[in-house]
Amino acid sequence: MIKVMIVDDSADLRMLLASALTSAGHRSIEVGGGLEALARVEAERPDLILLDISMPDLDGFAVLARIRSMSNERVARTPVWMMTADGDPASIRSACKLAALEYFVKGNYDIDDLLERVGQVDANR
Amino acid sequence: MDAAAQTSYLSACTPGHALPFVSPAPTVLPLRESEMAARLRGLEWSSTPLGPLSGWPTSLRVAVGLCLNSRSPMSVLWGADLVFVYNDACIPLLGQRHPAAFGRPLRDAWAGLADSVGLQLDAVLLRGEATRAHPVPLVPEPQANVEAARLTWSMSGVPDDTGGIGGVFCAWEANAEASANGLGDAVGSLEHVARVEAERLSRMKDEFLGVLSHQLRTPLNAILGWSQLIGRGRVSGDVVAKGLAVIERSATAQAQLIDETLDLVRVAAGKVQLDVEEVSLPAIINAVFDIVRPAADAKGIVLSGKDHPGRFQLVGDAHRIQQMVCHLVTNAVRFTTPGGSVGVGLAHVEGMIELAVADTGRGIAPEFRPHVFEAFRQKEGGTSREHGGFGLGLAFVKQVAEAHHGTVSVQSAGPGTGSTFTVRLPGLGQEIATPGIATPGIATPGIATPGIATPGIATPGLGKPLSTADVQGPLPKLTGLQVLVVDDEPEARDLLSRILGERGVVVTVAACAAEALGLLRRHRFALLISDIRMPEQDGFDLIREVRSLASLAGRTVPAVALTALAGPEDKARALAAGYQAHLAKPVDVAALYATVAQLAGAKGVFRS
Repeated sequence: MIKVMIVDDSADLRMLLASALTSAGHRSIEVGGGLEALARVEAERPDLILLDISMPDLDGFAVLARIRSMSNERVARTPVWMMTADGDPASIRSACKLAALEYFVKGNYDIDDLLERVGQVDANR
Repeated sequence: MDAAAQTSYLSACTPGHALPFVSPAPTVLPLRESEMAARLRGLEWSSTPLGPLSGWPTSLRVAVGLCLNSRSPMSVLWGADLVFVYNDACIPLLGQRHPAAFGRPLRDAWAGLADSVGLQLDAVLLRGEATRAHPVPLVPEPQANVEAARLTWSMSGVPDDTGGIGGVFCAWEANAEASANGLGDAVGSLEHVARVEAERLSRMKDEFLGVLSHQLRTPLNAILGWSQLIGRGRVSGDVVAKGLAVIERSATAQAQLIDETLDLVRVAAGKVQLDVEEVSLPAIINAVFDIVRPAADAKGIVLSGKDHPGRFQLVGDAHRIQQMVCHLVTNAVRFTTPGGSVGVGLAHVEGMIELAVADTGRGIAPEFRPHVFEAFRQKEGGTSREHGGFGLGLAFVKQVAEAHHGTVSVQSAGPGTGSTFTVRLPGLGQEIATPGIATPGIATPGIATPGIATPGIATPGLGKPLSTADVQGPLPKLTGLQVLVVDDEPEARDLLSRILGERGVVVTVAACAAEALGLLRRHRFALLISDIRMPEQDGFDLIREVRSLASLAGRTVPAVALTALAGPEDKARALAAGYQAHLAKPVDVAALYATVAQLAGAKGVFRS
């Protein structure tokens, strides 16, 4: 069981991912925006962050860059998976530079596959 | 002509033999008269790294001679300092760098260029490659006769007399892309502008598709994800019900988004079908505020202008007009920072209804203002995703306004000062507002933006809404007048009926001259209003027959020709045929009322 922080401005998508993670026995924390994610990440210390890129307050890249530069090393190294609406190569490159581990294009992945990979994060912990 | 005279330079060149026609001891190649040739002769070369002309190696003389004799822009860079020699065709591209750059090391002559072509020069000088660079932006000097342009340099090394690379020969591709004075350059400039424009529109479309795909994928993700969760039995009970609700909501949202997108694209392409009815703008504004308020509340933006007590009716497509107002208000909210305000005002101005949407937002830079109503345009710099816009909204607004014979414009004092979008639409039965007295106390004539106090935005001192009594003298009394309207087009009959009905006129309609004549034989009318161009009998035929009717009342009914044929000859012809007045389509409501009042009154009114 791991603790996953879901950062997305769409409540529907948060609920979807939370339900999926719960069904596989994981814990989830739903966060509706980039600023809130930054405010809560140190206290919550999630094992994995699912991070939307396009958010109105602060986009996923900015959130990830700030997490990576946090003084608490454990938090700074949190595994992050980007969740995005398009598989734009430039966007994938930016995600790589910030050491995001996965890059999911919305509507283009299988929920079982996602859960299996979450299971691997759990096993490697 | 003998054979020797026809021998060309190339045919005289035989492999293994020396070139013919080379003068044995060239100073420089014989030079065509040109400004740069004169400067070459006049410059004190001994004070430059190249030393006096007489000591130049042959290869440099040849290269400089080829360069100066060409009418295409070319230059030579020579020696370790890359001393810059260029021909007349380069002058317009150099702007104020000319003439100081001539004979100077490139780093002094054109510092920025030396940096941007450095790698290319290395390839030529160190590895002897011939290169063609990627286009380099040509940054114009102040007051240069050159607009922003791009230069491509083809470079090849020139061997010096010892067999090494002595310098670089550069051909400039500065054709249509660079512009300077002169006709050819003007054409080039236009082409350049057109190309830049096309590239920009293409980027905007990419951006649009990016935003669209984002908007479509988010619900798609929910639909697919929940289907998988539910279908594979991962969730149960309550959660299934929740998931199904999300699927339904997402699919509905997606369908609506597709509809709206198609709508926008269709409207932006100029294909608008109007479903015409009588429309009340205050009601529309209220409906729009209901839609936009949650977004405004979320940002702490004050919306003002609800429940406008004035009467602002027009004939139009209520759905489109609401979409139009909604776009303007949504846009205003979107580009206004939290805590700002957005106001919608209405006013009667010069016979039109004016709707103004003013915000305290970021404003619009002057250079962007001419483009705000174009499709796929948005403020550049990647803010469109941030603001979630499509770039089609304002194009839609313009199309809808114009389809209603209206206009739209934008006022902004520049970035940071807010913007006001103003739509003018022909009103229905709105009373003829006399120009200049419409909205006392308003700094910007005719723009009513109640409730917003913002620098740069006119803040009207509207103590009360405009009403008929405020803006005009007594109205002509039309109530109860019996008027016969003849037009073969049902929409035109309906429109006229509505406009006249607004003022209490009792309208009878006829679809053709024969029907009108029948009605005129049986009933008395205070006025006849007829279209001219109709199939079978036209308006001229009709009025001839009317004027020869048996009954006095029929024969003498005042008649107005209402027609798209609006030239002076058309008017003269209508009057000669027996009409008392001639009005052009589309109908000017104020003029129509005035004409009806005048003619019906003059004849002695038949009231019902």
